[in-house]
Amino acid sequence: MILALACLAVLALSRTADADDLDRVKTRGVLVWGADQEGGGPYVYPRDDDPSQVTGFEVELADLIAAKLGVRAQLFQGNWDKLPDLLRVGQIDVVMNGYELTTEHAAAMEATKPYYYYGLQLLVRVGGPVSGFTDLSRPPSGGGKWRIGVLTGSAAETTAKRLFHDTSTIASYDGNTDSMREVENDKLDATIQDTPIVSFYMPRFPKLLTAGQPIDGGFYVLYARKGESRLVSAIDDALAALYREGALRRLYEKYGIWNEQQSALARVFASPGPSPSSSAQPDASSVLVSPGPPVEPIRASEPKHGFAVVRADGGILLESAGMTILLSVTAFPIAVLLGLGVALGRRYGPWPLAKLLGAYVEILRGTPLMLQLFFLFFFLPELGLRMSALPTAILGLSLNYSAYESEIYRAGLQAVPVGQTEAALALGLTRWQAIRRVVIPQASRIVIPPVVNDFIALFKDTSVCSVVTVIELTKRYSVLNMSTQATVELTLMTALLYLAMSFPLAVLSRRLERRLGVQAVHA
Amino acid sequence: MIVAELLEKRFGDAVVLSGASIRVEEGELCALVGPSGSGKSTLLRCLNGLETFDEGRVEVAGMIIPKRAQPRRDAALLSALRRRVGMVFQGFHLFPHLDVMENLLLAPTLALGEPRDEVDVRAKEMLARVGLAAKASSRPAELSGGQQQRVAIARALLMRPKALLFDEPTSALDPRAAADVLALMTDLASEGLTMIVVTHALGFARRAARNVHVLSEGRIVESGAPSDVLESPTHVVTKSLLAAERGE
Repeated sequence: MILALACLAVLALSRTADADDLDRVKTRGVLVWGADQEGGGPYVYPRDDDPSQVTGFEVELADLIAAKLGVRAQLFQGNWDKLPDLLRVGQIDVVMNGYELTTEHAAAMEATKPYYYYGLQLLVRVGGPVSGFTDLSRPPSGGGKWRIGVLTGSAAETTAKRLFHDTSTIASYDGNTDSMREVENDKLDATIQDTPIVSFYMPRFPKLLTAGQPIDGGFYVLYARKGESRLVSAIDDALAALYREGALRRLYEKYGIWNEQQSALARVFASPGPSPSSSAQPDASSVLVSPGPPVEPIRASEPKHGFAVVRADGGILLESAGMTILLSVTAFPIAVLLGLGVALGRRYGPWPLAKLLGAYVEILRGTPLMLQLFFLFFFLPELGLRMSALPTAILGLSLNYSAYESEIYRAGLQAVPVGQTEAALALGLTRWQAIRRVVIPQASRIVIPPVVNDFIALFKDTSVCSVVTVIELTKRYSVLNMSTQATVELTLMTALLYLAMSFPLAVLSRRLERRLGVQAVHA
Repeated sequence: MIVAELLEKRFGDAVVLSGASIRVEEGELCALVGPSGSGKSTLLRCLNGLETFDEGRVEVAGMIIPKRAQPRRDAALLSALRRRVGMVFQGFHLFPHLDVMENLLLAPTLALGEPRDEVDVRAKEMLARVGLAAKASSRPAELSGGQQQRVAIARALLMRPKALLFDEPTSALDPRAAADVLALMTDLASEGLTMIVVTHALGFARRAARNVHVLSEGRIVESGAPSDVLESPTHVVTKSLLAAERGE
């Protein structure tokens, strides 16, 4: 069965036009592959001894594939669900991060042959009410519904919804191990996970148990851009060679994820045959119970606690706080200047300009920052405007906050008594001189408290920049939290870092207010 | 010479000026009096373009101000006009973010392009002249109302104006501060500065003005030397102003 499926998958995809895709990679000497280290082990995750470095079987696999192509592999960090977008706009050459072979994905991207066959494993609590998938197809004896946790957007989610929709409540989590923890804590009855995740993380969850055999397997493949068939062929050849040479087996054994299904895959690679169908996809729904051995839990390191976490991860968190500061201190001055310009245009400009700027403010204020960043990073490249991640993040933050700052400044400009402008004009100053030398300085003093308030808000909003692949403090926190599960320590450290950044600003603001506020009142 | 002829002005339906005319010779101190809402402040503000008028003619120091002047279109004309005609406001309108010296220096350096060190010398003399030499580095908020108004007058004088317009300069001051400011104004008048003063201080008009114009409902109802207008009034509005002055 597995063999047949593997045949379909391996020989599936029709390859079309020649492209310069492979030449591009070879000329550059680097294969840029996209993954999200927040996804965790055993795929791509921070190393225990040095969290600034990544490891995982996909990291090593990328190196092996790149070596076969005669180039170097380079990981590009992106949010998991945005990897296809990164591929589309050309930030990466391939996606490789536990991405399953599905018709939807294969329609939008060019899939390679599979590098792994995974199954969906049921995990339950020791001594809990569930002992296998069959239990879940009947409602609990005490009435109500089962509570099943899955990873958002995963094959497990699809399967759970299809099979157990009537008898269960399906809860979707953003992190792999979130639902495992919830099962341990008795908030869930069961969770369904990809087999490599189970192998890797089981030691962290001693109260969990694998229940029965994995079901509903599927293939992990790499995806390249549609039409980049030469690159895909080269990767296919590389995978075949790695299977043949036994390098993949050694790699998977190292991570404890080699099993019978992988042997079957290896046999398919070893025997080149004609494709039975060109529109094939893994018909995983027909596999209810696979004959594979139960997965063996190994490899996840013991979770650290207390000061060990501070020692291990404090440095990298601090470094990421540096990125948060960089984003804030570059974006905010631009936002304030832009905002002042917009406010001036609206108050003193001719009416068409004022209307236009009004629309600018409403659009930027009325749509989420995340969408704006997404637009800048993933849509503008389609129009030929490509910027790297950091400038995009800074621009996005600046534009978004300029809308808020302009509203603050508009109120500030209005709060300067009209007599001030009249006095300046009556002295023979031009309108612009009056605005620049008399109105703006007074408005600036009035707006200090709300502007500083926004600066603090922007500090925290920088966390959204992870959608455009910038790793700042919050993203780093998520990554480390996923890989270490030291939630309490990491949350405290991260919160303290944010506070350490924003508190001095609050103090500064109050001081400025005291010093300058007096005169604003008497104005 | 300042001439306003047959000024008409409406704010929506409200008629503010309806045919007001005045003529002020060089070196003359002219007082505009009248009840609240009679249009005297509006008339004054038409003379330096802070207010526009719908009909009529204004000529100030040889410059003709067009009716319905526009801040953008007529910017050059208006700032040229204002460099020659200063204004002192009821509410002083010192710039609160600048100290006294900076208040004085701003317009001469910006609008006249005068070198800073030269203005600096003149500004110090001017401060001494208004009796506030010690307050050069004070903020406006640290000064009394009377002191602020004297700084405002010094600020206007530093532009070396051909004429100064005063819009109720003592209405916001206590009697003693008002007396100080009026004394300063009397001095300036005796030095031959052309001044138009909108005021309720009839005593000052009597003492210092060459001519008094009484406004009511947007027009001049009585004009002449204070010895005529304020001693033997013919118009009912003038009579009631005088009655109010006597506390009746």
